Amino acid sequence: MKILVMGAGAIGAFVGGCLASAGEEVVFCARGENLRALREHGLEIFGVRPLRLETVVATDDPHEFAPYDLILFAVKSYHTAHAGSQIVGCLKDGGAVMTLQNGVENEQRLAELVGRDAVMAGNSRIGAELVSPGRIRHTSNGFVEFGELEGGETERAKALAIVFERAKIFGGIVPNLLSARWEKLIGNAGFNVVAALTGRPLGAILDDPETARLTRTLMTEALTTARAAGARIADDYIDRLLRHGQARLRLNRPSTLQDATRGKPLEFEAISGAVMRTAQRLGVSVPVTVAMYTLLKLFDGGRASAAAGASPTPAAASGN
Amino acid sequence: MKILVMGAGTMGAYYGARLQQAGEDVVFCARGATLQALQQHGLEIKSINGDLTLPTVVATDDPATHKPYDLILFCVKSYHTDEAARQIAGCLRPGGAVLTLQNGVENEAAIARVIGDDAVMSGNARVFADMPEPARIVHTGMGYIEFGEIDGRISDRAREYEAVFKRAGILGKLVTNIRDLRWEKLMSNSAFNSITTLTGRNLGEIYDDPDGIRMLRVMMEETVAAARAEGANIASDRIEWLLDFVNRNLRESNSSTLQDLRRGRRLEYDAITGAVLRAARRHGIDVPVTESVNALLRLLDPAAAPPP
Repeated sequence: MKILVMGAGAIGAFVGGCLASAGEEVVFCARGENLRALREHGLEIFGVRPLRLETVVATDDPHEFAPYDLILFAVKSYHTAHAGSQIVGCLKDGGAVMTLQNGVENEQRLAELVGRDAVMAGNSRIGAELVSPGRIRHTSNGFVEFGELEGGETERAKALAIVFERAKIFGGIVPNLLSARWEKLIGNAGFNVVAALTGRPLGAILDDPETARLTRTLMTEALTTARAAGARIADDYIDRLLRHGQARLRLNRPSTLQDATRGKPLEFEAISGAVMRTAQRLGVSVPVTVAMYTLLKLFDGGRASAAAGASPTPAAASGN
Repeated sequence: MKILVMGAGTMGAYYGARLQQAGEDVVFCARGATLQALQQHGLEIKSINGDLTLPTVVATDDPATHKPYDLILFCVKSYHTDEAARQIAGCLRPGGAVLTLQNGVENEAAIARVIGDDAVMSGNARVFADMPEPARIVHTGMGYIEFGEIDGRISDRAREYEAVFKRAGILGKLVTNIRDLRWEKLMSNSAFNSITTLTGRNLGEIYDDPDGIRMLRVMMEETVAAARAEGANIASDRIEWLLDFVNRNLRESNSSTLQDLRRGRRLEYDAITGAVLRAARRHGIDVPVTESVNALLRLLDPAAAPPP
């Protein structure tokens, strides 16, 4: 199967690497340093499931190798509009664009660009970090659960299941994509946000009763919003998530924390922003999510303007 | 008047320097690098109210060596209150006062437990300044003290301190409602210090985002609810007045807590958001945003981080 990995960050590179290693014809679309590293040195995954690909096909123009049976859409959410316009016309008839991004809003944006029938979505259940261009550390899990926007096991979903199974990254076809996507977002709305704002991995956050409580509050606000949006989420979902985090993800540094550490833009719009916007539309009160959204936006904006040289570190200060 | 400045950080050093300049007999109590710098080089102030160099100051790490004092300005970080209060026990002249200028609303009681209720007075330090290195102060805004007796009466000693502060150019006002004003300052600290620290932005940048102003307002409303439950009288227009005042005067400022974070120092959040949270919980008041911000600051605190 011919597959384009749109965005070769930690998740795209891991999934694409596994698929290439299983014999699929994989093209990585990347930019800058990452593109150069992929072309010159291939791809290296180390950690839980090591993998070395001496050569990979990499490009910054998806059209170069089009058309594709499947496009795995794995760019950061704030690049969706741009990357989405790049892949228009790159899909074979009946092919699919599967977003593996954080949040619940990318499906709609992609549908506007490539048509709703072409869009599928998946949850990447993969702990991975891009440690340097072309080099990925795989830290936990390692599979993708996916489905059709309208639900159901279509022929193309079944075909993809076989391909993912061969690559050992198949996590199941989800019958209710809306619920599954919200489940992932509930986790991100707690874990990613608190980790990014405190700079600490999940173990430290969950060991402290106050930050554990904050994490639960954020997840509860997201869950209330999810249900208002029609998602079906089990009553004990948050308990299970927190237990899983405490037991299995103690050293996990969520992607938003990785971005904060590296000075990259933060994906707060797709996470806290998505919960907040949905909640406001449906009349759900999410005061703590709004506060965290505001903090992340201000923090992110400060680094962006500092990087652009617009706003030097303020010299004046207070004794308050 | 013989005055001990307990804790020669930014505000203690600034007020102490102005008092010494005005001819008062000032002793600075400090530790480590600050003590050494004070003893060797004195104090240097760059100030909007005129620069000031004091080549010689009296500095010690033991307040008892120069006792007794007519006034002790209590300026240590709140997490050092208990230890510093024990150090000054027995150092006051009869009838003298310990005037706490610290952040928060809980230090008065903590000091009183050690040296007695009658000796404690309370004040708001209204000064914007930074200490880029020990014993060197850059003063950028305001620079006065509003203070009073905790029970609100105008005592003789309060009148004396008022005259002393006035001569030194650091008098804000002698007031009869210092408890209310302490809560107002806490309302300001809880919002401004927390958000600047968690975002790394100055006040003007926070104001430029409507969500930023909204969050400042929410945090202040939570503090006012806790303050009123504690019996403080906060006028209903104080939040809007303060937001407007800061926007007109302090857009370039950030906060002492952000300065501490940037220098890898321990954060004083517990006396601020922690105090609001404790008061709210005593009265069963929900303060979800303050509680969340307090939790984040706990883990962000360099003193809480595990060794690298």
